[in-house]
Amino acid sequence: MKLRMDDVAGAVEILAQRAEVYAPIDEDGQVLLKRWQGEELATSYVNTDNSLKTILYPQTQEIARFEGGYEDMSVSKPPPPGEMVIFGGRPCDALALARTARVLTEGEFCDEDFRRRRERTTVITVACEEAGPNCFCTAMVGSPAGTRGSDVVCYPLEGYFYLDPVTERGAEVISLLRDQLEDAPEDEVERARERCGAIPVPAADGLSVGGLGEDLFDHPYWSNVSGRCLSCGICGYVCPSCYCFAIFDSTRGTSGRRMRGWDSCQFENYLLMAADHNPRPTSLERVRQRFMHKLVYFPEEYGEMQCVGCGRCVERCPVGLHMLAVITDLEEVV
Amino acid sequence: MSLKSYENALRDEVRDLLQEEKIRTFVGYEAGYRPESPVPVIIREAGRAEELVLDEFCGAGLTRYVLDESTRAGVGSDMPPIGVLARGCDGLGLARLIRDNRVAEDDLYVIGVRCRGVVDPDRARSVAGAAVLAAEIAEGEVVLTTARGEVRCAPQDCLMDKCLTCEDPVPEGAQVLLGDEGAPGAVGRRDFAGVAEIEALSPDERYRFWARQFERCLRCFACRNACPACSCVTCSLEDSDPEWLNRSTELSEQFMFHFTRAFHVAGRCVGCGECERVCPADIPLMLLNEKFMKDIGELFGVTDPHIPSAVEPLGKFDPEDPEGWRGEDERP
Repeated sequence: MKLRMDDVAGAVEILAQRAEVYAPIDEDGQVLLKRWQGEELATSYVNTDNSLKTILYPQTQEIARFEGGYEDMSVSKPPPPGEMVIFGGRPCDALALARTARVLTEGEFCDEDFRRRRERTTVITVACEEAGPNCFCTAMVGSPAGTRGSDVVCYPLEGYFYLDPVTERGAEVISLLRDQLEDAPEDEVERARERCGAIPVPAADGLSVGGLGEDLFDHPYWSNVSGRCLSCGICGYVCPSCYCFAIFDSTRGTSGRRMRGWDSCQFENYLLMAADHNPRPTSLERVRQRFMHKLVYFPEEYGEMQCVGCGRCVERCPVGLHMLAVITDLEEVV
Repeated sequence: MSLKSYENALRDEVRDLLQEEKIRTFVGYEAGYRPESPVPVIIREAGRAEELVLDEFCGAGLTRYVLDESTRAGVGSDMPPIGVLARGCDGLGLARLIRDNRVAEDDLYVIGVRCRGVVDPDRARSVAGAAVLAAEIAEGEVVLTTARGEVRCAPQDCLMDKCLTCEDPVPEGAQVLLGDEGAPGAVGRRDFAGVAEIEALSPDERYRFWARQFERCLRCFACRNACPACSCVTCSLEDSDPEWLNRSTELSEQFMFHFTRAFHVAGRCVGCGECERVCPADIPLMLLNEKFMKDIGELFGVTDPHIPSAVEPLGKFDPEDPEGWRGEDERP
């Protein structure tokens, strides 16, 4: 099936009758995936400034409400998340979602809130026609036409989006839109897919992440490079695959809310203990942790990269301490 | 001449200073991942002076690293001073740290730059249509070199925002100065045009404007961490008891964060623009800082409220303050 690009707004309107729709919207020069309320959709962006994570794993989230004292405490849970559709994310962010889902939902402990939210969300991804200067998805075993983590992938070609229903949920959404869609033979879809999959990704050329192991921990490189870190949270917060959080209460009188919010391993107080001990007291330990986690620990644990090469840390780190720089440096020093 | 042509002079100077132990460390720039993005570096060995870079793209603020170095050494250290490269804006940041008693003046050795502005690599790339390999800032125009040749553009199209309102291109009190003498100085004027635009809005429009900006805030604390005026040993915004600010990004907390930040640097902001440069949400933080500058100028008759000086209206008590004391009894 295919959808004329000019008809996307109409399709989004139909979806919005059934679910909360998030779509790329231009705001003060940034393109953000935001709750769509009739705004014009942004079309000329390499990637959105926020990733899919910000919707499926929100920065601030209420876990429970409480009221009362020691004797008469009552606790209530927030209502379950509603149906959501996210249109316009990129394959790298969807891949990050799939890799993050392994951490949050596989094994003994499942993040129920994330699982519920993901199960009620349809992720409609738009494959890339052009890589940005900071993109390196192919070096992280991703693809500009990748399908993993998406429910539907749209391949743009000659004024049309060619739709690939990746999951059952994706197929349902496509059937919802049947009046907007035109038939497309499979070889046309394939042509659109191949074209997206073949676009050059210059920053990924020759980038090699193999051969990094735990012995990297003691390498002097970390003390050289961490000196310039500002210990801010930009890299972790713009990253589509970072998932650390902290629990906190917001109280007033005898009522309040238990919340969870993103945290970053680059903050000085991230591991600060009650007795004032800090296992990662300087930027050396913290910077090393970030890159060791992405490049060594996660692959050891899950057999795949955690980084998806979206390039946001490359674009946003104010002192050039990002994934492309570190991988390139490590090739030289290790 | 381009700043690049002073690079060897800088390396020679720093090598000598480290060799002769006239400085204990040097804060400057080294090559980054891309030619148009040099990154801050802190070197301690004379042999590494070769790695220093000086060009039109060196623009990340460096004062923060001086604060870290100074704090690490502690008060009354008998080590030789910290060497640092400083454009005009860094010079003001260093003056701020000295004025706030966070760094001792005699613990600094400043290699100053007669600055003509810093080229913003992203802007330059979009103007030139390709990666920019080198840049030279001349009178009234900037020459960008790409793999395909030269592109000329107006300074306002490719310089960093902070340079467009800068009136202080040369740092005061530098031990050494690099860069062309008598070069065309700052391209900009601090005329508070952006502030006047916001002031002209109705209160409701202003609220909506700032609510939209603050809603994007990621609370990454980059603006605080990069700021030469945010030099507190511990930040009250990280206190857990009382918890002035919680982790939530709900709008009330976003306002709390941004008001606290802006009020705390009011009267001490040097206008270096680092907060705005580092912000991943592109929040125009300098509008808030400049609003305070403008008000301080108008209310207290201070000509350059961003220049750290002995007269800082918000930084001291004046017994003759026209607003008086809250009650006569409270008068010390």
